[in-house]
Amino acid sequence: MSNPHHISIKNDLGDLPKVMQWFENLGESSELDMKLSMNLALCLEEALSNVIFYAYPKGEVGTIEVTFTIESEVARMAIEDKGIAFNPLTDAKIPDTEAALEDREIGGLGIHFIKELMDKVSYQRTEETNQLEFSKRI
Amino acid sequence: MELSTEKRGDFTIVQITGRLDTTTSPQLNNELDQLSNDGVNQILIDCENLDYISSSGLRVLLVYLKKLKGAGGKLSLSNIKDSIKEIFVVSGFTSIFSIYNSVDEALES
Repeated sequence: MSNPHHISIKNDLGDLPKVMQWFENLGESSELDMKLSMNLALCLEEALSNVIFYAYPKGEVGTIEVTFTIESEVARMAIEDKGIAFNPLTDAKIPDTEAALEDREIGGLGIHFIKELMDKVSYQRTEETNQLEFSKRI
Repeated sequence: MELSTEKRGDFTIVQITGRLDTTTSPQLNNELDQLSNDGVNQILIDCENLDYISSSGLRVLLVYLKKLKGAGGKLSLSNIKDSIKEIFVVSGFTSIFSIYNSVDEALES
């Protein structure tokens, strides 16, 4: 399998199935374990939907770059956009997953999944670009 | 994703087939909204054929759990596959939802 793999999409929900299908095919061709592949797909969807919903002012078209690499037994996903600066590691609301139903707030689970299901998550703002990267040992 | 509904006793069973994700979760939201408008307040979501769920799907489940419980009703889950069980655990949903191993077990509870 050649490395790295790359796809560009617009900040449009209609592009989401395209990138999910792209990753599903990659998971199959690289013979990733099913659970790892699903968790990576989930984290990819959560990161992308956050960018699509919140990174750009309404009506503004932006490009999101997704790169997937497998190297030294580590599967790594990098997501870049030029939307507003947002560090999911520090700026996202942290959900209380032990709260009683009446106190349970709606939302915030997407970033929580990335933090919980991946081994490493990092964020950088470089000039006008948000760079989110997460990885998991294979 | 495909949805099918079936009435069994006091319960309405909603069976989800496929992926409940950012793109498809509005469809489940509409279905539950419709049921709730029709006065249905005991719903069992059967996950036997649910292959994948993301936070947007969980969001819909949580919204309607709150809504139905607040109105004296129920929203339960059954048959969650092992492959997606971890997502329910990590989200803390196993402590707020009644989760059953089968439809029959849920209906007998």
